[in-house]
Amino acid sequence: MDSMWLILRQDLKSLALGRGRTMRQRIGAASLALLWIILGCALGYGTWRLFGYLGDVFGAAPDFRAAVEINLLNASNLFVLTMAILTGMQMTYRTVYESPDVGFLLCQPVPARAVFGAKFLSSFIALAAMTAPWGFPVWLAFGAARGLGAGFYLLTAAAFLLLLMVCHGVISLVLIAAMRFLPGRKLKQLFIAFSAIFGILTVLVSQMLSARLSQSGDPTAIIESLGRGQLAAMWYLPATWMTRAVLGCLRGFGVSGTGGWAALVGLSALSSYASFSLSEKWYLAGWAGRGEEISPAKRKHRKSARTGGLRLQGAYWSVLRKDLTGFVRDPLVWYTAAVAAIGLGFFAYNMMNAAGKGSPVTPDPAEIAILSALMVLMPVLMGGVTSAQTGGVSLSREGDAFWILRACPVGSRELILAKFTYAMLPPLAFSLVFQVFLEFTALPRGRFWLGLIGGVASSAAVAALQVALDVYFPDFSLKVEFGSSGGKGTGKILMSMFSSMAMLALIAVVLLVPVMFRERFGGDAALVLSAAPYALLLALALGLMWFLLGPAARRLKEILTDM
Amino acid sequence: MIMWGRAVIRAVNLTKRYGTLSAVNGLNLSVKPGEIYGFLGPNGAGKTTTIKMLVGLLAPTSGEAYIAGINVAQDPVAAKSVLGYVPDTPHVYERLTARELLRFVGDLRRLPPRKTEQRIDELMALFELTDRQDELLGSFSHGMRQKVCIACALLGEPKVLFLDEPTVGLDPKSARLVKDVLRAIADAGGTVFLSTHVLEIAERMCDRVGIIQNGTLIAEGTVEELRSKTVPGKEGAAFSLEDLFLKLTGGEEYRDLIRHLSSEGSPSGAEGPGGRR
Repeated sequence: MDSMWLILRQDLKSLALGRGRTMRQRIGAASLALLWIILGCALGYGTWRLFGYLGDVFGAAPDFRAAVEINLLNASNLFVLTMAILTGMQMTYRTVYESPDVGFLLCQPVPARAVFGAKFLSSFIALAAMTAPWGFPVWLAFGAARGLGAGFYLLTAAAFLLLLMVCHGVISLVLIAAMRFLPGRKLKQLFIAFSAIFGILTVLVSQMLSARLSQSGDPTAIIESLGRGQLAAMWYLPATWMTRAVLGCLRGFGVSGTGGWAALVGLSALSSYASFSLSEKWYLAGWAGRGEEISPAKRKHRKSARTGGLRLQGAYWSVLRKDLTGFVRDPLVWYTAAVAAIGLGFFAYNMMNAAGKGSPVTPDPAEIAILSALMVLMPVLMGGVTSAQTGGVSLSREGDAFWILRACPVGSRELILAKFTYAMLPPLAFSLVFQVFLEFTALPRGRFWLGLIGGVASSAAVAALQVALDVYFPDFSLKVEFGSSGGKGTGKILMSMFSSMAMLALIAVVLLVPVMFRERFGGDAALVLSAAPYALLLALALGLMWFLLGPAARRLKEILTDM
Repeated sequence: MIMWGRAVIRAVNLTKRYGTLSAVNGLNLSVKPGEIYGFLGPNGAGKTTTIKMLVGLLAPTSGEAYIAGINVAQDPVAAKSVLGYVPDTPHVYERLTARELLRFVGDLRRLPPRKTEQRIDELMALFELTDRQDELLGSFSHGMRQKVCIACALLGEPKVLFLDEPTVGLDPKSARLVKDVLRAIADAGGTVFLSTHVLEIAERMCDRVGIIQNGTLIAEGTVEELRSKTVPGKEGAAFSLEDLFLKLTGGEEYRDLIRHLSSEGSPSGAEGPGGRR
């Protein structure tokens, strides 16, 4: 037991003090923590307003108000549970089986159970920190809106931790059993497949729900439909156990908390105890590192043509070809592409629904300009999210293998242009497909060629900004792995993602300012509302390209020759 | 004695400082064509920093590096096109196959595609990787990755080859193969600059060795020259390169400590036959 606490203390110290991190990494971690806190506060404030609104509107119908609150709280728990499963599996696997110090610790005269226990607890703490801002603030907001006392918050905290422990215990148990029989590499493939299916299903269901809710513009109708929902009746879900456990201790909700507490305490204790017990026998026996070799029979050959024929050479084409080869082999790409396609599909569906309900009168040019801008921005936004994890950070993603490029005769301009092309491909592909798709719909919008120009220029602007930021703030320790929150450099990805959003906000201003001030431009509205903003957008993209090939390329030259 | 005339590798007052720390301090050296130059030194002496400056991966604080007459800092792309480099740790793109990586390097070096394919076939056969060439590098062991990195460096048949600890992680057969390949390259007129901690390799393979300590080149020459300079007279003939290295770098001082530790560790606490003398 002493050894376990000793290892855990060391792990937590390293985590809290940021040992072994550079100042930039520390700032990144602190920013991420701050972002998490802001997210939690925003969620808490928003739901506090919502619970307050429920109290005001449905104060006279306490049963209905309670039903809505139960469903909202349960939906929040369900979301936390989904997140815990999605991120928890990879996080636990990484912490328990792939921590760099596990091999070292297992060589020391400490029981395997102590090493497992310390890693089990440290991954639980990480999981709690990761998921708390998404679920806990909702409960805090509920308590605040209802004016509940300190006991409620203590009960909620206990139930929340137990809910996470149930999830973590079961995941650990599954992992320890799986690692006994499956090699780590195979297990990782299973995680990826599971996370991808689960993630896509989650996105699909949430988009369907949102599409259904958005069809009804009346907030009271939406709340009424929430009140009719029977989420709390799903007794078999741990999310429901938490809802019942906490609300069972309050009057007026008509649920019993005993069953919920018993299930939470029982299953978390049982799964944790079983994991600890099995770890003594199976942790060492099943432990397999990431560097393990695949058995010859299971090696996957990727035969490539031994052609000595014409192949575009030089740094630009070689780097682009290399990046694209990695791109299609990256499960993350397919996942983000699927998520983006679903998001874009539902966006188009909602727009078509809204247009179908509108008046048959032809909308005025300003409305068309706004709709056209939206049609340009949405696919670029979706593509920008994909490139924020791929091409937009592809210099950083060179990682430890960057020496190969640095040791070869590679010019900085060619390299930066290859990275830019790679970053531009996802938003450009989404844009082109979406613009062509729109041609087959009856949605009111501007001219096709303007949409194309807008798509190309916006994609170029977003890609140029992402690549320039990657050149100025590279992080070669960046590890982007599918379904993992344990990968290094999350802050870097977020920076790339937010930069693309900021650029799109700027583009929206460029496209919409002339619309907002159309009165001042007077008569030639058609020209002002269509051609001028797009010409401005093109100029913006070209300006960013100039910056990329000038100052950013010079910065890359420094990186190539001095690191 | 620095011979600038036919030198393929030249370092002139090469210096690298990190704040107040001097990693490499005014280093001068030159290596001729057809020579294998062994670069030795204790951990943290500045070997990797020197190699990185010579191949253009690190800008020197002051001084200059020339490869085949090209100033590395002024024209790094031209310098890199005539050299091959193997780093101390074999990091590769895990989502590429061995063949794809070599093809990528060939394209970066603008080798004719047909020649690239032919060279890849030869190198894969040489390093016994033909059966594994179409597998992702992510599944390769450390030694196999090291072989792939060496193959990458050899692909373009460079005039100058830099290898930082090339035999680490290789099995004895592969290590022997690498040594033979390097000798063959030097015999064919190529230049090899390698750093190693395996003094047996340096003694057997290298035409000349340089010993660096605390960023300063403290000795340079053939093993014979080092022997006669360090331990003059007949006594020197019995000195191996390891003895010379320890004498020059101060490693001898630890021998007494090791003897002391081993005598303390003996079961009776008494000094064994090899105890303090």
